[in-house]
Amino acid sequence: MVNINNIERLPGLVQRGAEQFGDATALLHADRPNRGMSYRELHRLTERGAQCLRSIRSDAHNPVLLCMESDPTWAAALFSILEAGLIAIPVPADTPVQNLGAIVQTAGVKTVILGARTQPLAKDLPGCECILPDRLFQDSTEARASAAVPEIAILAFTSGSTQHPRAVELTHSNLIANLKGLLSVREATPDDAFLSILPPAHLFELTVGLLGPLACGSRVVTVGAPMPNRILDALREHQITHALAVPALVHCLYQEILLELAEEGVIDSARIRQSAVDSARRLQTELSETDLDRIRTAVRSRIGDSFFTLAVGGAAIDPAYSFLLNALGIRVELGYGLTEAGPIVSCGFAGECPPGSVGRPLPNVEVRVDESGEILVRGPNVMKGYFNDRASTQSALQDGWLHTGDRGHLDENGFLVIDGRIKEAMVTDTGETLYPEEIEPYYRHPLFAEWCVAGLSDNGGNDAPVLFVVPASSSTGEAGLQQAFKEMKALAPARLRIPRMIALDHPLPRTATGKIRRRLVAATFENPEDIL
Amino acid sequence: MSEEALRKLLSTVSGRDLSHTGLDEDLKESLDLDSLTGLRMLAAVEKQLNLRFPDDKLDSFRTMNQILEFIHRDPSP
Repeated sequence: MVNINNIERLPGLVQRGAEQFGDATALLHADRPNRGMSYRELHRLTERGAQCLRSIRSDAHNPVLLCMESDPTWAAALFSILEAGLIAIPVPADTPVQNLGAIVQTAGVKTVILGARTQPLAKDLPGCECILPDRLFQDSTEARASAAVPEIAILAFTSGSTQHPRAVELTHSNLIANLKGLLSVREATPDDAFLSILPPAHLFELTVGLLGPLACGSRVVTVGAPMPNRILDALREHQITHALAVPALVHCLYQEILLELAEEGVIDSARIRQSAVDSARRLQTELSETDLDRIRTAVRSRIGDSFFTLAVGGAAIDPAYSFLLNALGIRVELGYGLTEAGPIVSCGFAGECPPGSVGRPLPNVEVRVDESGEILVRGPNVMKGYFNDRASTQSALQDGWLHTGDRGHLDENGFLVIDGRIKEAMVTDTGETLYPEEIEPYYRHPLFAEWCVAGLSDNGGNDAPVLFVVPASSSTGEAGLQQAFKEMKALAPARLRIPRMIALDHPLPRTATGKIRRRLVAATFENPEDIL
Repeated sequence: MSEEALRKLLSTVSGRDLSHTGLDEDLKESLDLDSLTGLRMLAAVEKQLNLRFPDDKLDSFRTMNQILEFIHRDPSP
């Protein structure tokens, strides 16, 4: 049994790994199979990186921004920051530069670690010292003591928007407690290999896909871009046993597999033109045992025989996928979490959970549902608070309970079921949280008298953001409004380009103080009794 | 790979009609594709021609002409 009871800070995992697993491979890039990083090497690089950072800056009040592509050195860079007694702000490598600027300004960042791909960003971050891996990990004799070690390990920006950057403060204790809870129900072994597809700055990937495997002596294999062909190749070539994905990636892999099966004549090519969810649902009901056997053989020859667990997080997944993956011998692990909870709250295998459930709470996490139906979470994993935002912290943390903003219930066997969202934030099938307030300013247009963004439930139970507009003039037709929408969409940052616009023939509903009731707007297009 | 073969391949992968899409049109924009479908299109080209688009430039292959240009320049088999 994996025991991390004596570890109080995250870099302790690296030291323990070096002592316990030594020359075993800890991290590897799928494209560079002969250049893996052993547990001992990870420890050595962590020490060197910490030394470099201490020599540059020892002021723990200035967090270090980590903006690197997925690579084995990403983990070494993160641990270096923490080992140096500094706070890390990990962000995905494709974070838009204006958002990076907002994060730098909000958090008082003075030092940025960039990778080979993100190196060009240095010119857009004036006032910051930008460090590349070559310099970070070079051998140096210059030593300097750490300042007082901060309690906070990571500042996780849940909204990188330029207007409302918001960061969750997660302490070393929060993240280690969440890891302990996870390992008490899901333990890996040194024989296991995890494929890292999602950005490691994604807290779900960081905890379940990086810290968990490193605590167990497993291998973490990184793929660069999430190209479906490269992912399928890596599953086979690296004898991957576990991977993590968000629902959008599952759709993508599913489509790729269908395409390949059709090319080989295993299934009818007509199926690949249908939407992924629809075809999964149809296959679920139409396939015979013989069909499934044939498909199973073809898929296994493509992805190898080792792969058996796919953890799906970030957003909800349609049960049809779980059925099909299960039929291929791949267990789907579901779960519920949020950054503020460090992040995992509950988990469970799809085959063992009742329909609609996201598993049982981790043993060291308490969950209850209040009288309004909101899910509340308490435990050592719950965040310290929001960075520099006392009002939001007080509203989210009340009497030790984290208000999740999600509605749900616990069934008689303790399984958690998510029924919807209370907050206006939307969670898309890529697992990304979008706030209406960050999107709406980009859709201001003279043809729109009023407009707002609200989420409609998509097929898989996630939110599909929709722009609702009230025309400025009744003489403007649908085509003109759609054209205006298209124009504004083209000017918005890529992640805020929402797919759909609906024109309304009545004013937007507002509260007494004039605030738009976005959920009510969306509810009139879903089940009007559902949300009030 | 010919322009026609590329159109056919991308059309199969995306499930969209590309017969009227201009060679210099941004595929994701004009077909309103999500980024993963964009990656699936490049993946299909990689598989068919046994080549690799560089990881750090994936986002720069936005039009059929950009893809064709890379295909015809790439020295890999």
